[in-house]
Amino acid sequence: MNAVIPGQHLKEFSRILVCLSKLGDEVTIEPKGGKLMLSSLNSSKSAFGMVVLHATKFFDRYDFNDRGDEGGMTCRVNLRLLLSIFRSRNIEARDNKDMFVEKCELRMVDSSSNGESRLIVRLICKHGVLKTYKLTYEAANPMHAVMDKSMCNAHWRISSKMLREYSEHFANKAEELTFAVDERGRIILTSFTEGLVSESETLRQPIQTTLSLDPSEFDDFSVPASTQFTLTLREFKAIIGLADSFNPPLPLSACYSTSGGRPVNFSFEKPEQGVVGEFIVSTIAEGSSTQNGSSIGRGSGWTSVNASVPIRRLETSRSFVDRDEAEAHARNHDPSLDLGGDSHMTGYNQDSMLDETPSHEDQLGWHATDTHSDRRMSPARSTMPPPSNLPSRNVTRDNQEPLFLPADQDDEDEATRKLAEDMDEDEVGPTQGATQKVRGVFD
Amino acid sequence: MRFRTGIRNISTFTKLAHSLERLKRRECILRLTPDAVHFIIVPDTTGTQVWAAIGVETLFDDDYHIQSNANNTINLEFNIENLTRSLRSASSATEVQMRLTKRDKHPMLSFIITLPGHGGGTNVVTQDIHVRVLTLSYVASIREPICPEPDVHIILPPLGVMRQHSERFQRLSDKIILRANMSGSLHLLAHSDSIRIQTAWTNLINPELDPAQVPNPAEHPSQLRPKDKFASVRIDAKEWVSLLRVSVVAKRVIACFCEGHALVLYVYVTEPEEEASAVLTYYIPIHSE
Repeated sequence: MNAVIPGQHLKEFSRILVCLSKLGDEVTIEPKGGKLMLSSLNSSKSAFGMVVLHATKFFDRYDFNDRGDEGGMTCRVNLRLLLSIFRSRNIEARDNKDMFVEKCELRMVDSSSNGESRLIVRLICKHGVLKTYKLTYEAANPMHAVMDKSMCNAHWRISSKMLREYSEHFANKAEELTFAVDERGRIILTSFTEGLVSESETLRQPIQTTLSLDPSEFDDFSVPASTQFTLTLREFKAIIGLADSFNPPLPLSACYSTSGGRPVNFSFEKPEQGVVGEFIVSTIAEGSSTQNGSSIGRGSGWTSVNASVPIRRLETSRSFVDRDEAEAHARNHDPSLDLGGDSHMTGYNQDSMLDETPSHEDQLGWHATDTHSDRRMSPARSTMPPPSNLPSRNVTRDNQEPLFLPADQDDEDEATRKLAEDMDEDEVGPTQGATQKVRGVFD
Repeated sequence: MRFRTGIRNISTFTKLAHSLERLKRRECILRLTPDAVHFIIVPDTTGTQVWAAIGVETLFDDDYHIQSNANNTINLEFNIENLTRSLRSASSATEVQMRLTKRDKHPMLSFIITLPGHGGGTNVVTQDIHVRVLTLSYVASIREPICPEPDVHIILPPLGVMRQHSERFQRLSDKIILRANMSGSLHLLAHSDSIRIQTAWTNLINPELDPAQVPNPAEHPSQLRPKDKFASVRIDAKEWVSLLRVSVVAKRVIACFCEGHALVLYVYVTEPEEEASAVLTYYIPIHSE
């Protein structure tokens, strides 16, 4: 494989690698006739990202020697190394215009030619300066996450620039994001963190943010009311960041099924530049923490492009078979995709695959109202934590009224006990309605 | 206990919060009363203390509502960085409401921010900060420091300029010396092993004492001392530079030198006519040689 990236597309190429690096440590490079696919999978196998670059629109030149066998030249390369090559190009372009990179050549050389398998990256710069990097790669069987979009009942599309603006409201330390549609059709985004629980650390908890958006913000919005999904904020931000980095920012489309534990498919494209991005991110199931989130395997199929082993494609109509199984999954704390064997099999319960009839009606709905009542935000009556003891400072202003009114001894203790009870039960914010499922920080 | 209000002056509130950040202590006490709000930062060990008293009208709307069993006063403690972070969401807001609420049994200070949407509708951002509700007994144990009558009081030159100079001095030494006299002169000094540097301002104003506050102005130490005599204080450079961040909101600053004791700054954030409505008092400890 031999591909040449023109100078003006190098920034995009670099940003694509940055985004994939936020998912996993390695990028899988799959050359095909007519396109080059870059993909990455995260360690818990709960997020998959792939960017497809069109042979003629993205590259100045693209030669692919199709040797007929599938997955022939697929390789896996360490992302950190690749990133450092492309980042330094960016820096140099800024500091020293003379070192401007005119184009970049990517070549895969396997051991059959001269004994060494290398990915050769050549930066062809101005004034005939040539920088050559030789990276080792690992031959790999490409693994793609596949999702059956026809089973999705929820779609939306919005400018990634607006999504990025919204994401700036969230605390940096926030880990999870819930995307919900309430009964009125407004979109509610809530950030969460699996936080520290100790009393003394209460004040260090990150801010909890809720955004209530008008559906008119979206270019396209078709989601059933009273549904939601939760995913990892970091990955979502990486996807938004990549779509937004294009000039002009690209709209981001989302497609998912609102029935239990399904992954979400995010996609964007820039046809003029020959770039298509597709990300499949698993959602965090109710009752399980981030680490134990349902992996993609439960909702979509994994296919191996290598056809040497029969592929069992998972039908995405296969929802959680029944409630008990869903709970068993949640309790089972099995985070990773059961890929089985030598990574060729799709992961799922083999038995259930035999039964092909989808049963949406009696399944555990994605947003059963039961969960609402569990998580209803009801201010409970509790005593407030005792204040930390500080040495008293025995100084008062002499010429003015003391700043703090002296407490009456009797009232004081009463006040202490009643502090929390006094808080008005109705004092909730507009987005914290009683029916809003709010998963607090201390789950 | 109930508290809710609209925030009238988001930009001032934000600048105020920023100027309280970066002092030694991350936690800030907010004392809410029907007439005024007080921001109090008292470090656990020695360090600059900030006691800010802001009239309700300066920052908040007419819908300011507070109610509690303790004389309608509520004392909260929270992380000041959370406040500035929340207010950042409000930079282009059409409306901001601040409320004391509860989420999962935890008291929170909620900022409900209404923003115009791109598609013509409105979006609402809610930022909830964890707060601790403080008891009266605890709060009573925190008293404003007592200082003797100052030897010299002087109106400082623009804090932005002072900050620029102080930042440079900070590189030479971790302590800065300030001295001033009752003839309008102020010096900023720093020493290191090899160099001694000083910036001098002259023709500054020494404010007159207000007879309403000071019983016998003529007998005040600042009036009795020779006008040219300098009162000098040696303070921590890093803290000084940090607190000069208040320059973004400061309209007028009076420095009071209590020689051998402390440096007290009265920072006014409003125009002179409304000065009584908002003042931040910084108590800066001195370090002896």
